Amino acid sequence: MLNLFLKDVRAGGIFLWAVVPLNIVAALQVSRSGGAFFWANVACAALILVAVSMLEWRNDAEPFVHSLPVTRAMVARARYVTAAAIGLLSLLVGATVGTARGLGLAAQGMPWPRWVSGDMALAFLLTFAVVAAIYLPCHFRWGFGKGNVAAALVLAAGIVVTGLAGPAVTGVQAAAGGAAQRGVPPGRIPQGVALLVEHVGLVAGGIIVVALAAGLLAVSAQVAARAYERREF
Amino acid sequence: MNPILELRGVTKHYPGFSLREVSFSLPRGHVCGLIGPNGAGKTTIVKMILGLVRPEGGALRVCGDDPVTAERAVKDRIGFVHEVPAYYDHLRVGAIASIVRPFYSRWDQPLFEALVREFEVPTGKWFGSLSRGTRTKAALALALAHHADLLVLDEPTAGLDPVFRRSLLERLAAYVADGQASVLFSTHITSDLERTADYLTFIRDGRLVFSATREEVFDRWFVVRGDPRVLDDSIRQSLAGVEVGPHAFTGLTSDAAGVRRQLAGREAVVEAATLEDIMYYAGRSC
Repeated sequence: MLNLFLKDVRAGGIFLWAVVPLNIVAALQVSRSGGAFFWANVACAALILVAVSMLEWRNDAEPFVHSLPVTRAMVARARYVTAAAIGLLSLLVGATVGTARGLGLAAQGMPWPRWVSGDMALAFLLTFAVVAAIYLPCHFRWGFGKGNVAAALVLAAGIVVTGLAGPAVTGVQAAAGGAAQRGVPPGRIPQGVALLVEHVGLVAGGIIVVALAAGLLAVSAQVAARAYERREF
Repeated sequence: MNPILELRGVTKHYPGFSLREVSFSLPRGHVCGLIGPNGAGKTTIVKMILGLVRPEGGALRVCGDDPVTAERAVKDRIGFVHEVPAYYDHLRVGAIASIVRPFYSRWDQPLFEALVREFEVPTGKWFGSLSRGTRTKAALALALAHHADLLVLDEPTAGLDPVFRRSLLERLAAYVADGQASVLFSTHITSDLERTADYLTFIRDGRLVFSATREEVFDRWFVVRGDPRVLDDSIRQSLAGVEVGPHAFTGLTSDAAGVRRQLAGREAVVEAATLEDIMYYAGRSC
């Protein structure tokens, strides 16, 4: 599995490293808005994840990958390791850009931005885990083309149904004590995580969120591995 | 000793095409040519060996193991060269080798380096910038460098110049000479197999036409040519894929002695068939 992950890093390096410029460009554009920055960061990370899959599709490299002594389950699970690495790298870049922005604001005597905080880092990880947990099983079941369409439809349906990226639901806002108004990015996940951390603290909240993200990815990896077993090339 | 590759009654159904109960085996230390027209099922068989598609019936064994249940162990013993080798176009050959290397338990880096030198593959060039022939050479170096027990070559000589093609065939013969490794060689270029293959397996429309040693094949099949006026019903029944022109008829027979008796004294000849003759006339008769 480590070799498969390293294969993704070596073959997809050109895209993995794009996390940095993509996030910085996005950050420059949207850093005045915490919400926009948060979702741009999620979008950049998702783009990199899709790009790694695109690379194999574009090069028609799946027969090559399957000629290697690996099982399909290993190929699927290794992509989750890659996804985790992309998530952490994106978080690191996002946090660096956010901190720089916060220090800039502080130098001007302005308050530290609410969205540059531990709970929003957790929210980012959980949000990206949700995206990866939806995208990867679709990719492994239907391939790059149909899989992307399927994942986009599922995500779109999810956004419509839960208001994931849309305006916060009034009830959640009220329960969070108006977190959205205090600079928490819009969407159920960031606002839910802000609420959780407010109630249980950053450490306990962190454990819960990381466990939730890991559990979600573990279940998704099982689904993806089984789906991939059924694919034929 | 168990065959290195064994297919017993393997079936696979697609819309418009079925592989029907194909059985053949390849002992260790031999080269097997897998021949047949386009769409015959050769690539489906190659994909099954690699686990890219799953058989729906029958049994397939590589080194005695099922490629589905023992996928990793089986693939560790297979070297594969695709008709159009596809890796990552934006990587150099050396970088591709460094990706491939850790996967194989018997990867031999000095051997890989010797092979790319011998094949004149520029390891510093992007894979996507290589000619088709050089890509095939790079794929061959990767496939040969981990001491595979079974080399699976899917139309490998299609993009190669005649000089390298000849040296490749010699290399394949040497590869199996120790009696441990075998080569499954799927190709349309039947002249390659006439030089190299110990066994020949002919697939057509998803069915096995024959699988036998090269000697058995060439001892069995003959081409009959002659004046169309001598082609009576009894001779016609002994021939496969008969082609009748204004001046001559041609057909394939597996009963050369019987046809010679029937033709006694008439204007016709019975001569050794080439593999291309066998594919062509046997194909016409199906």
